[in-house]
Amino acid sequence: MRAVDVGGLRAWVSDTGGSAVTPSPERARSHDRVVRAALELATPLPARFGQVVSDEAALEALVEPRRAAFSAALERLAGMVEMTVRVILPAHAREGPALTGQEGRAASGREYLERVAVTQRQERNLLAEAGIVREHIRSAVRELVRAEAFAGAAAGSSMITVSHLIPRGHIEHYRRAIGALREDQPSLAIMVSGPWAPYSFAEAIG
Amino acid sequence: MSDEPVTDVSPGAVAEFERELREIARALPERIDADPERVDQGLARLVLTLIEVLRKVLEHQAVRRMDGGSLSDEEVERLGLALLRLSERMDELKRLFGLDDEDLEIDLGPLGRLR
Repeated sequence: MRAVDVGGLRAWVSDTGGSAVTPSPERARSHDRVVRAALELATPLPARFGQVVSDEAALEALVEPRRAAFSAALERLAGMVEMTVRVILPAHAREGPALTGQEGRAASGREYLERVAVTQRQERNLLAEAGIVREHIRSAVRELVRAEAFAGAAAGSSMITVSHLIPRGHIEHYRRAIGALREDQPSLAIMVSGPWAPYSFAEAIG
Repeated sequence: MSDEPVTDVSPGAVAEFERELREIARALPERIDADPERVDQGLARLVLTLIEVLRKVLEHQAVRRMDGGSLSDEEVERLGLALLRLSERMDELKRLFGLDDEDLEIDLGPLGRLR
């Protein structure tokens, strides 16, 4: 691990043998350790795991055209950290109408369309529920956050993820606010984690 | 300045979160950098994603028309069968290119995900 000065910005790099990095849990953890170490000094722009350049000249060519964007992002994120809330939506939102007798291939065109209609209703329910939960979270931490990033439930999942950009000084308040939300909404399974480097708010790094 | 990251989970929900997060980890790409051997798969993914978008639109329209009562029984049957065959054909193509449903999701940002 070494720091390379690129026109006033400092890039943290390490040398790899090849042109691509094959992800493994161990490599992801060491990437995370580096980002955390940087976060202890100041809020960095975390690079996506596995970004590879051929040499320092290529690194400079990558950074140079975006230096202004990087500097602006660093300024915007200074003193900030990311907190992440994940919520598993309550069972009633996931299950929707009964799905019994829907195994295997539909026996007719009508049956197929009716199954599609059931699935569409479930997806709408899930989306509506996700919106309600997002509002609950938003009002619990409204005073503490500077920005929010939201990821709805992926196909087949009922977990939503909300990331918040908050000033470092608000971490404890934030945890308490989510704790209070948990007490207010006992049917929601809530996981809160952080502080992390602002992965969800570092668009400039592309 | 240091604040160690802490993860705090609602009591009783640890196993549920473990399952969901394992599922996400499974869906992550095996390799990050562009690889020429994977270009074909990338192209197939793009084309199939577009077809999937159209298929979903057609299904939504069909269900709306069925629920609205503007289709005869015969029309419902014909439309349903055509969509069933399209869905089966898509499954075959996904298998052929080693793609699954998550590969064909489009994240529309604030509008959520198309699936």
